[in-house]
Formats: sequence, C-alpha cells, structure tokens
Amino acid sequence: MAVSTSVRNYMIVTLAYWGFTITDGALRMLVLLYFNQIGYTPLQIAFLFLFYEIFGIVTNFLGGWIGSRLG
Amino acid sequence: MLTPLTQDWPLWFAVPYVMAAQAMSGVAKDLTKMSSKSAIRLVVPQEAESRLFKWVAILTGSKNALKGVGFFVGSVLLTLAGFTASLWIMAIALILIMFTGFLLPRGMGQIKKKIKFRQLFSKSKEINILSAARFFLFGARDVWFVVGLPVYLQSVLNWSFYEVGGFLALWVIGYGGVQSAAPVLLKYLNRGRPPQAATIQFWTFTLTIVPAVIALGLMSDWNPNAVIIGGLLLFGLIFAMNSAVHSYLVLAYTDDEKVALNVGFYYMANSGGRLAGTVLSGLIYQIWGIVGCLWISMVFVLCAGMISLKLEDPKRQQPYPSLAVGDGE
Repeated sequence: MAVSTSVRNYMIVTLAYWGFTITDGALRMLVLLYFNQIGYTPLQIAFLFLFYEIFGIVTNFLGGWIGSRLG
Repeated sequence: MLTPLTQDWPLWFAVPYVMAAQAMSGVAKDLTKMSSKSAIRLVVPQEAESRLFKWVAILTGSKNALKGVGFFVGSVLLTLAGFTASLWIMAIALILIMFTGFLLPRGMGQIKKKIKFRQLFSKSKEINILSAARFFLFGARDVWFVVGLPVYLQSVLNWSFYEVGGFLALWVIGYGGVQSAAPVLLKYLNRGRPPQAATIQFWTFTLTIVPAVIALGLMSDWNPNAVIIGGLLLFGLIFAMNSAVHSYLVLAYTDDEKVALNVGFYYMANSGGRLAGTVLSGLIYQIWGIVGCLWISMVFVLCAGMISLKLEDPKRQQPYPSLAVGDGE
C-alpha cells in the first residue's frame, strides 16, 4: 500500500514538473526569438534571462533547506 | 503575465518585466524539480541503488525530451499565433498544472532530522569541488548555447523560428537520450567498474577540445551550417557523458539524510554556472560573435577539468551501479 501511494505522489510531482518544463522551454524560445527579431541586442536578451537564473540559485538554495526541513 | 507586453514599451520597463515573469516560471519549475528529485529517493528502497538510478534516469531523460518539446512548441506558437497569443496559451496551461498540487498529501517525503541553516554550505570537500567543477561545466555550455547560438542561427545563418526551435529541440532530446544511455555506455567503457575521479577528469578534458574545434571550423571557410550541426552533436554527446558522471558522483559522495541538501547545494552551483554563462553569452556574442563564445566555452571546460583533478574517488561504491543521470537545469 505504501508503495502505491508514494508512487502515485511521485507521478503527480513528476507530471507537474513535466508541465512546467514544457512551458518553461517554450517561454525561453518565445522570449529569445521574439526579442531578437524586434531588435534587442544579445546582451539585452541575456539580461532578460538573468533574473530567471538568479532565482534558480535562490530556489535551489532555499529548496535544499526547505526540502531538508519539510520534505 | 507577459501578455500585456507590446513592442511600444520602453526598454527600461520591458526588460525588468520579462525578467520577473520568467523568474516566476523558473521558481515554480525548480521547486517542482527539487521535490521530484527528493521524492524518488524515498520511494525506492535505500538498498536498491541501481533501481534508484534507473528511476532518476527515466525522469531526467524524459525531462530533456519534454524541454525539447517545449522549445519546439514555443517556436511554432510564435510562428503561428504571435507573441501575445502564445503567452496567453501558456498562462492557461500553467494554471491547470498548479491544480495538480492539491492532489498531494501534506508532509510528503518528510525527512526526520532537522538541518540547521549554517549547514547549507556543504561540509563535504568532494561536494564542494564537484560543485565548483559543475559551475564551469555548465557555464561552458551556456556561454555559447543560451544566447549566442540561437541568435547566430537566426540572425547570421538566417534560420526561421521553427528551424531554430526545432533544431534546438532535437539537440536537447538527443542529449537526453545520450544521458539515458550513459550508464550503459560508461559501464562498458569502464569495464563494469563504477565511475571514479579519473572518469570525470577524462570526460571533462575530452570536452575541452570540442568548442575549440567548432571555433576553428567557423573561422575557416567551411560551411558554417555543417560545422555548427556537427559540432553540436559532438558537444552534446560528450557533455552528456560529463553530466551523467557528475550526477553519479554527487550521489556517491552524499549521506542519505542530506540528500535534498547536497543535491540542492550542488544544483545551486549549477545555476551559478548558468548565470555566469548566460550573461557572458550575451556580452561575448555582442563583442566577439559566436567564435568568441566558443573560445570562452573552451576556457571554462578547461577550468572544470583542472578543478576535477582535486577529486578523490568516492568511498561509497556499489559493485555494478547503473548511473544516475541529470543535468540540473
């Protein structure tokens, strides 16, 4: 019983993660192609991704902490 | 969230706006990924290491495929529906996904021991070295991959939206495929022995050559399309092997109770590499073009290789492990 429940939870988390991953990839391509087309310079486009990457660091940092406390 | 954005917006407003919207999406993705990575460790019995690795491999492999699908979907949406409509479609999809969160029980995957805040920085020397190497490894990829390459394909080689999106999609999917196959490949190449410090050193130094070869190819008068496509295939193949060995080693160096913590710390280093890579990708491309990005990439891989020389072999070993794979994005 324990196995099937945890597998079910695992599947839910994984599916949500997949959904986020697809939209995340799509958003990245949209932003990149669109802003390059309307004439943003490469550096400006890089800055569009900058916040995103910073938050990646912060969430991983906090995520490890939250993960170890709350699971 | 991005939908009100129009071309008329001044730069100073448009840039922070897009950054914030992307950040939100990134936070959601990262948190889900963390829970997924930690959840699997608790699902599978601790002893069944090879089974754990198989699950992680499936998870990560499919993740890359899905990300590739995302790339393609994004470029097709942009071609067919335009920027604003595409964002609306995605916002609706995201809201639907949020609802799945309510299906989960509270306190799933609770770990018994509380961990103090100062323990966030890994005490393990190996994890720290590995993280530093990973910083440069992922920086090396992103310094040409994030902005430089797609802009080069779009603006210099004049590829269309969906050609760029489709090619990057195929690359990412193929890369995920190599990662999934990496355990078998490595086991064969290592004659059944688990990966050691020397394994990562070998693969990292091998990778150093690739961006240099692509850069030289583009500086010569060869067909740039052929150089880029061939070079990317080679880069993806060897990079995936590096990433797979890294992911095995981080687990081999990690205590069970601290799995979320160490994996978190390690992926943080990973994100740091991407951060540096992303900004440099725009900057270097703007100054020196794609060739400049590639030379910086080579220097980064070289740094990763030098750092990995300090690694010792992991103490915890399974006789015939399959490998964990993961690329930590």
